[in-house]
Amino acid sequence: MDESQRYERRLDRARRARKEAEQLLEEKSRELFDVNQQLQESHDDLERRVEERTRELRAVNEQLEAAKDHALAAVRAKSAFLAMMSHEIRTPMNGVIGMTSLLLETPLTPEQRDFVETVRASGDALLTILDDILDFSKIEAGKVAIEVVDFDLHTVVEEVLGLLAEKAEAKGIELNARIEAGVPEVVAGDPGRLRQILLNLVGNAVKFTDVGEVVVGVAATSRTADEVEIQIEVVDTGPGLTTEAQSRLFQSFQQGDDSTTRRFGGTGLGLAISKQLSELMGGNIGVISEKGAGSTFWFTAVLKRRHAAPKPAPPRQHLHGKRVLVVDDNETNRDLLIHQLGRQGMHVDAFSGGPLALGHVSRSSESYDVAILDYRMPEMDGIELGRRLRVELGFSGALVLLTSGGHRRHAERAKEIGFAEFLLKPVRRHQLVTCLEGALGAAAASNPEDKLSGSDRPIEIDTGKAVLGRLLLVEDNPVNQKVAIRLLERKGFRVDAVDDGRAALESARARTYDAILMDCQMPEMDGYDATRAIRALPKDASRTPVIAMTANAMEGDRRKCLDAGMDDYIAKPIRSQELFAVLHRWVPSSKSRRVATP
Amino acid sequence: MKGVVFTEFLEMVEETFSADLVDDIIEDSGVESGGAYTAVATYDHAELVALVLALSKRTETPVPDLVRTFGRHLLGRFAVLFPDFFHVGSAFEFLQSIDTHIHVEVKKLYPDAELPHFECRQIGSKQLEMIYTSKRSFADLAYGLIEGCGRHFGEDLLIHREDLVVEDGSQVRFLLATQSAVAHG
Repeated sequence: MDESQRYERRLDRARRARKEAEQLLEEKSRELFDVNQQLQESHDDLERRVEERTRELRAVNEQLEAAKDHALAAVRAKSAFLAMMSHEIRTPMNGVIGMTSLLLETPLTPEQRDFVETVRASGDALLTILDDILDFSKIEAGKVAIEVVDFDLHTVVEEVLGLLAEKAEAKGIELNARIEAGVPEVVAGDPGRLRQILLNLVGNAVKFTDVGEVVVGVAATSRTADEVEIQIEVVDTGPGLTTEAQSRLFQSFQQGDDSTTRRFGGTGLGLAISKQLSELMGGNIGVISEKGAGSTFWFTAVLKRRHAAPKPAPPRQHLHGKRVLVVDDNETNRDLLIHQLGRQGMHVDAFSGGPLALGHVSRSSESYDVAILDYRMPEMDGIELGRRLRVELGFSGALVLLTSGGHRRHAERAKEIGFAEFLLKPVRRHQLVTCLEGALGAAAASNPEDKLSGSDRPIEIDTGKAVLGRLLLVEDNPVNQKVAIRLLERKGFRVDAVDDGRAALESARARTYDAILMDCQMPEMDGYDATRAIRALPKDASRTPVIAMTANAMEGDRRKCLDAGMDDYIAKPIRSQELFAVLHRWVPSSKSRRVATP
Repeated sequence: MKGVVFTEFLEMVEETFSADLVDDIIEDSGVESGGAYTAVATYDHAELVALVLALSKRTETPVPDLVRTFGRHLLGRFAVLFPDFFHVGSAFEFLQSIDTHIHVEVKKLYPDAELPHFECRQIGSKQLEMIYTSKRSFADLAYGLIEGCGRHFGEDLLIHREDLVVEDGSQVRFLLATQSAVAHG
């Protein structure tokens, strides 16, 4: 092979390789083009499908939006309907309850009295249901604002127990509260809503417990320097709940089981409301229970601390160091007394029954300054124990009988034996101190304010006939007008009544009244406008106290009334005690002046 | 077999010996393509066998030695042509990436390519077991490639080769050790 042949072959090889490469390149290019084409097609197809899907989604969204608007409108309509119904039902209920109250003050046979009492109780129950429904719809509509005002937490708990004490006593169950040492007294929050939850939980516990006790425990945990979380639990020895029932309990319109509705009535809204309220207060609610083993309902709420709050009263010096004998078969109650008395610096010996206590006292060389004896105990009642302490052992300390009320018939017997004081369960701190001071003959040395400020004292209702003042009643509903006139006249007020705001303004211009009771919703001129007009009158007429009466049980109503220049507010249906309490506040003469009826 | 193996082979022959020898072995082997190879095409692997045999005769060098030498050379060329595959830290790392990464990439460009398998198993930090499986008997080429790989990463690899008996194609177990492991062992 010569040189030129070699080169020719190499050239030929190179050319062929190049052509092959070019051919391959062309093929690849064609392939790429085809693939690209397919890609483009599938891309277009995808885009078409996305567009289609988007159109579908948009249509569905529009439907959803419309459904949402529809639902919201329905909810709003429901709320408005409920509010209206509440108002509409309250107005005639005012007539029913007011007239029933008046009827009860007339001579009745026992049978008639029983019927009328039942009518009134039914009316009250109906109002409670109305309040529940209204409350629930307000919460659901997000219309409930939580107040922040200073209040005494201990007092709220004690008040709730006080309200239910009678019911508990009637069923023969113990009702107690145990407030732990770290729980602040004065805090800032919404006392009304807190009371509402507690009243619901304790009310339920009392309702469902037939034997045993209901104990309210209050504890507190600091969250921040400014906030404290309180935990309140209500422990009962009732029938308990199945797990399934527990899970449904806090939903609206649900109760423990269907038979509950038949046996106890109620709307089943109480717990749902409590749940929402505790959540609004930054807390939670729950239940721990077992069928047949009682229930513990608990809730928490975040409250603000009040650093500037007055320090809790220091232990009373004259109680300090005194020796107390406590005899009560109920352990919770015993613990509570030991705790409360210990806080006063007293030495406490506690026993679960009469024989044990007698045995101890007979052997002991120590003497006691005071003995607190529970009336109802299985082996030996408190009066008998007191008698034996006095007569058999020459017990020289003061005797205090612990009762749940309703034992007035035993009072004589107890006094004869030498009981100095009666202490009502559930025991409140102030009562305990006052009572012990009384029993120890130290009452004179104590702060007189304590005795006067006892909020649990019922308002003295004067049944004697006397003109207590002249009132202007502004009310367009004839039944309500009649109820109010009769109530007020029986009490001893002189009443002028008018139908609307314009007439009220005329009357207020014509003469000076001690107070004006003003309905809010009236034709012609409503209560708000009438009040504003009265406030614009010259001199004394403009200063007449105006008290609003409204069937709109809405929270905001109070504000609206005060803004219009009214001085106070009572909700319809009007309950006589409440009415007179407000009148006492604004018509001072109704307390002091005693003028014979003409 | 990919054309790049043929073009690189002929270039190696030209550089190591002469352009004339390239003409001669093409002539001797009588390959169907006439030796007009382009890197982007695919050719019958038998042509490479025929070319190596012709070279072996002309240079009086055993075929396995030639193929191993070509393997070493080819790895160096791969490092120049496809540098992206060589951004790894060590020979072991590179060898392990052949099956898991490099051949995956090759398949993307040439879906029909019939590629050998390199199943790797790291034994401790100093040893690597590689099982070479191919339909063709180019274990010597693999041997040379592994050697080239050690050289490329500047590592002194100790390579132990063990031919496994299989019914079809060939399978060879390479046990590689870095020198420091040997020193310890």
